[in-house]
Amino acid sequence: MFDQSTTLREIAFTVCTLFDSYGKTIILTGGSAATIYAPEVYQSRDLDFVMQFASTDPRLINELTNLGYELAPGSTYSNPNTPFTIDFIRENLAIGEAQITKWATIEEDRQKLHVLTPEDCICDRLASYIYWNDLSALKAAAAVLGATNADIGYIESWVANESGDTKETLDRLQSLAKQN
Amino acid sequence: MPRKPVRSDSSPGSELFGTASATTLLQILYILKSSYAKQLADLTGMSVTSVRSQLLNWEASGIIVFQTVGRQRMATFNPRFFAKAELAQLLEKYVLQNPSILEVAASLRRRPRKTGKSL
Repeated sequence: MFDQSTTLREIAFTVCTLFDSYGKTIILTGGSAATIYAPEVYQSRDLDFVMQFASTDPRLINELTNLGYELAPGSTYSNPNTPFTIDFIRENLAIGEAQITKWATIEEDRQKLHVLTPEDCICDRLASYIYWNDLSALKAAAAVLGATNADIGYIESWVANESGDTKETLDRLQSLAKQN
Repeated sequence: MPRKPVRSDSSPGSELFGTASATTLLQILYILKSSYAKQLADLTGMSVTSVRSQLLNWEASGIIVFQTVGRQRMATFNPRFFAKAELAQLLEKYVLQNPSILEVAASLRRRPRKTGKSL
């Protein structure tokens, strides 16, 4: 059972492993993926899992209930014992125009977590920055860049397809990454 | 968590726009693209009165314009300012020189949040 000391990472591994045991692949995205890669710099309180299957198996809802999670208004699962909420997003895995077909799978202590690769995680945060000028998302992207060996060429190519101002976005990203 | 205002820079060129505070204020507005006096005061640590006064000076110079959105008077860069592109280029250099400005602006969340999720 989760409590106030349970980390986002522990919940992510538990829930993903649980779904995997029922043959359902869910992939961690958004700010929570950034927290997996850069927990010291960026803390999210929402776990956003993308699921590419039609509906939630009632057995899985029972399992979530056993973990203390209840469906709250707005299709978010919340748990009175932990501040971390869980969302299951039924859509194709995509970042802007780019469809994502590969993700990272991290295995530890007989548990596994499917999560965006560091490169896609950075692009995902940059999408929020580019679309809404959200500097907190830029900061999260920079934190992941600073904490991983992400391929900057991949990111550059994604930004070039999405944004008119590739140079400004990448200069700011790298400048903030150096700051961390 | 209380927001930590940006510390005014004392590096060369920091007083280019009058004072170090004014230079910081213009950089913050440039990064945010649009903002209002109270938000800018929170981010810079300046008083709302000082921010308003500085914004009015820049409006008089044609650098910024105000648009009313709901009940807020939002300041944005004037797209008709004759040196808008050059000013943006200069401010971008300042921002990259002092990325703590980006850190401070990052304390604002601007992306949408799904209905029902807590802030």
